[in-house]
Amino acid sequence: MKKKILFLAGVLVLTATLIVSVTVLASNVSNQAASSNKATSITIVGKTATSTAVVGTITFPAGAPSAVVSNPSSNATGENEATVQVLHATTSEPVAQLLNGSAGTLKVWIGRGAWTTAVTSERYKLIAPATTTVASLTSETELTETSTDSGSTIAASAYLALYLEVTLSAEAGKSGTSTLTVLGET
Amino acid sequence: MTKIINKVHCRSAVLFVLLLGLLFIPVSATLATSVDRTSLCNLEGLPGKTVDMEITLEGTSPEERAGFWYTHYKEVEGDDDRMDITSWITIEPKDYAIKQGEIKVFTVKVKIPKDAGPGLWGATSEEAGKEGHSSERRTYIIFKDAVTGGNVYSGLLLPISVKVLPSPNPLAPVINFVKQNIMTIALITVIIVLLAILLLRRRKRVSKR
Repeated sequence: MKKKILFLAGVLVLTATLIVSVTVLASNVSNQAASSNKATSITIVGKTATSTAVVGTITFPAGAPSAVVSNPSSNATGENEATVQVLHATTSEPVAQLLNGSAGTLKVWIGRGAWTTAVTSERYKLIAPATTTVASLTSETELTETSTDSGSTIAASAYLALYLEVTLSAEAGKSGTSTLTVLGET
Repeated sequence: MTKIINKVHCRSAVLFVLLLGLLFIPVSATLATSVDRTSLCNLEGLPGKTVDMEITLEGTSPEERAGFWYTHYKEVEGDDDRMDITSWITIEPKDYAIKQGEIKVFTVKVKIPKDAGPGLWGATSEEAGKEGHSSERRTYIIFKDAVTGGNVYSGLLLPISVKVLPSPNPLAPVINFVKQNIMTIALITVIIVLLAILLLRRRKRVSKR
């Protein structure tokens, strides 16, 4: 009888030991917290220094059939906002600027929608705003209907100047529309 | 008189320094649309299952902006068929209009095909979601918007990748049950063994008598 009691006591001790070990293991929990910054898309703004006038549309003036049109203007409506692009060897001015409102550097992707009519090709140049020696866009990269990596980057809170140029189609009396897309990648 | 002139000079100098300082304050204006995450990489799911993720946009531009979501595959020579997972992805709602201060929530659904093999899909590396790892990304979700009525769109590319998990073992529920109740099972086993020993001893005693 004594042996049986001892045996049962052993079983109970073993049970208690296992339960206590489970309890000890379960209490090893602590909480941690971390957060990251939001990312913000690139803003297309007017061409003046530190502009915050958002550009909604860019318009190219009419030209002769097959002509190259390189003086588009934006609808930036800030105070004293000049809007027409100027190509010049020493005093060039872009049509707009890209402003990075994110906390980190962004790679710039750029593309266009399909032109309905009137335009056969469109070219662009992205350059630091301090450079004012853009005299021609003839040999610059063509915009495509799929946005592609431009190879340019913008640092946080910095600007990049945007120049545009189109070649009109040979047909006279046509007008067309398209869209411009600027995307950022972290 | 000299004191007054000195005071005026001093005030002018302070004003000049303050104005000069303003030129060097970085522009922090955000005038477009913000997103609450920069990547959706290494999502995990089983073949045939759908992974749902919420993503939030916040309007920061004073003008209302209208836009939409879409998917994109960045084709790179030599890619295998694991890189383009655009057909797996839907974003709801696809179109949106957002005003300054407004927050909109979208659901990104990734439907993993039943025949998808285990491993990483949509990127070449699990590091693709980190800043500066653009070359390892292949599939993106993109949002872009423009001032309502405008033709100039801006947006962000968000890389997305999925880690397809191996199909579950049919014995997995049993294994999981054992793992979750390992202590109880061990305890019951010990008790059964002890009772068996006790029973054997009793039988021996009975047989001796």
